[in-house]
Amino acid sequence: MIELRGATKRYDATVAVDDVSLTVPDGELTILLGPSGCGKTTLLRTINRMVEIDAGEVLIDGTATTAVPPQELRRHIGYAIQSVGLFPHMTVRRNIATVPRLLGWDAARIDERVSELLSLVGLDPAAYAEKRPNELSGGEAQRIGVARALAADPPVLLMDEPFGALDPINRERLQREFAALHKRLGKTVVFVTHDIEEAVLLGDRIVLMREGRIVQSGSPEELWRGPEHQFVRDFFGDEFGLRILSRHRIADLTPGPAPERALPEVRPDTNLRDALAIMVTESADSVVIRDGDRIIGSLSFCDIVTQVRETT
Amino acid sequence: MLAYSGAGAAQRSTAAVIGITGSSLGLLATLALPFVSFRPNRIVDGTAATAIEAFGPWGWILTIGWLALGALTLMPLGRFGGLTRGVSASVVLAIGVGASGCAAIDYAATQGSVARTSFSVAFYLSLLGAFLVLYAAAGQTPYRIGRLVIWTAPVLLLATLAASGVLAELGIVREWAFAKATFAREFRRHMAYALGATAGAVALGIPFGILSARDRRAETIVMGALNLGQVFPALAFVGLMMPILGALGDRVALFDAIGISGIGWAPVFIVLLVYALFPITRNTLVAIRQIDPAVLDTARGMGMGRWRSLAEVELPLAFPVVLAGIRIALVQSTAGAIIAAFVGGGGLGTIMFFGLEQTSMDLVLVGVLPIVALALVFDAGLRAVERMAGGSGEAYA
Repeated sequence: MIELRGATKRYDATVAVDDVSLTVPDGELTILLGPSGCGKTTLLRTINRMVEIDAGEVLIDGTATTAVPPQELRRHIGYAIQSVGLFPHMTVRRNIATVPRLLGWDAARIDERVSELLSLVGLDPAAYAEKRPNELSGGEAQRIGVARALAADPPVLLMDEPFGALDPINRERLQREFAALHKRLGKTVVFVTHDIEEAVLLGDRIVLMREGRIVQSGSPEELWRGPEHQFVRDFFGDEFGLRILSRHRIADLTPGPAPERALPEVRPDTNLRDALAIMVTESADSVVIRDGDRIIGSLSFCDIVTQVRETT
Repeated sequence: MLAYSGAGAAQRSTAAVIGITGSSLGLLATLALPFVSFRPNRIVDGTAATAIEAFGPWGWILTIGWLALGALTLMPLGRFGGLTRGVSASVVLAIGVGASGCAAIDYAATQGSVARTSFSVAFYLSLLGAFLVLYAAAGQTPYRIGRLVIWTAPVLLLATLAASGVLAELGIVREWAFAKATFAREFRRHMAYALGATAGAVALGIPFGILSARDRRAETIVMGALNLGQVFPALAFVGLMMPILGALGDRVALFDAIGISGIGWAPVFIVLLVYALFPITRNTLVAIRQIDPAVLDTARGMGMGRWRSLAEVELPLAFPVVLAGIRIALVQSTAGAIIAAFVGGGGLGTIMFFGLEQTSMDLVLVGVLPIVALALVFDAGLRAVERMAGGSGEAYA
């Protein structure tokens, strides 16, 4: 668990992080979201002391981060950034092995870990371990960047717009893979982005920031249902609801009785946004839910719109 | 630079132009300008003679040799073309040198041992012409072994001529015979100045460069001081150091004990060191500055300390550029060490100035040619190391 208590960072006259208190529960993926210049990156960097706060404190599992030397602290916190920052003079293997080397692991253990991590991020260890960073595509480089951040199996992972520099297709693919990876590994992740779509897709919790302060934090659904400021409404815009729909599946809702007329079919794991899209495309006001051979029931447009607000 | 990898039509034609320029230069100089000059002794003015006047039939052979070389340059000779042209150029050069040696022997036979036969302007232009043809030939040769043959052939041919005794009466060889006694000592001293000043500049310049890269104020001070040192003329600089070091040597027993005084090695070493500091410090500074900030950020973010980041990330990435700075410093110091002769510091400059005092160009050459050779060897050697090092960090070089 990461706790920030009254964390403040000033640069001359401007206050980049202004008295922020925040708790990041174990195993959750927390998004720091906000317009550029809102202090989200600075806030992220206070956690591994890349930025030293002027006031307040940061605790990880109850221990102040100032209790250990910064280098020691950082070796136990994964770190991945948008421009990746792979070391161009080292092979992929040596890049990934950076933190294990700093921690003094033996060579056999490092080799084993490198192979394991390359497989984890979907790259063939035999083909990639000896490559140089300049031989990698943007997507491959970022996968290696994530593998490198995970190398010493740190409980906490800090990521600063890790997919921001990728083309839309690669970005979406890596986002989905990363969401699955996070479910599997259960790391505590703090993730900076200014991309609303990415925030709603990945975040267990979203911390919306403006001018160095937290405007509101909570699950995407909480922010959608109960925005506490006009800024929250304005920032997420009218599409917020649609984006929330994409987080939930047909199976999450209570279906109505099976219909008697012919309707477009969806599966239980179809997300609600796609279900709506099907209705629009087929000019239907309902869909029928089919699981293999079995018809489970149906959902109308009204069912979806009302239930998503009540049950999620 | 000419492509060493066998390369396209444009590079081939560039090589052909350089080759034809070189052979034309050799031909015209040999025909029109004095090749050697004869003096009854080393003091008086001599009579100059063209190759044909001085060498008789060998003069004609030399002229035909240059013509043939020009023809070879124009002919497409296939994959061994470069090698053929290069070796031919060496042979033509050797004919010129050998004929001069024979002429010198004949002249000495009539005038006695104080007579001097010296190379004249046509010889030096022929030397340049032959170098151009060799350079073009090396560029046209795709194999390392072929290039090696092209560059070693002239050295081997001239060494063979020298060993055979044909060159014994040439002025430069006679002067060499006189200078030989002190040559080894002055050569060693010269090397010590060049290598010592460069080593000192590496030891100081790399830390200065690192410091300047990290701190703008340090950069202002360090680069400001080095820029000032750079614009100071070397001799004025030495002159400035003399009273300072003299006073230090007089007052501090330790300095006196290790030989620091206004004259001798100390002022020369310091001046060369200051000059050598500039390229090394600047290249270190630039190389570290141009490292991708994201790379440094992740190095820090993953828990590398300052020294670790320096040793594992910054210096390896900066290495090829720093090495280029060291090469420039070494070549510059090799040439610059001549100033030692002004203040009794020894070195090959001593031989050169001795030659100037006695208006003996041959003796000047005995001092200067080794300096040029040293500079070329240092330059080529370090360039080779740079190419090997470039493999790891060429994007940052």
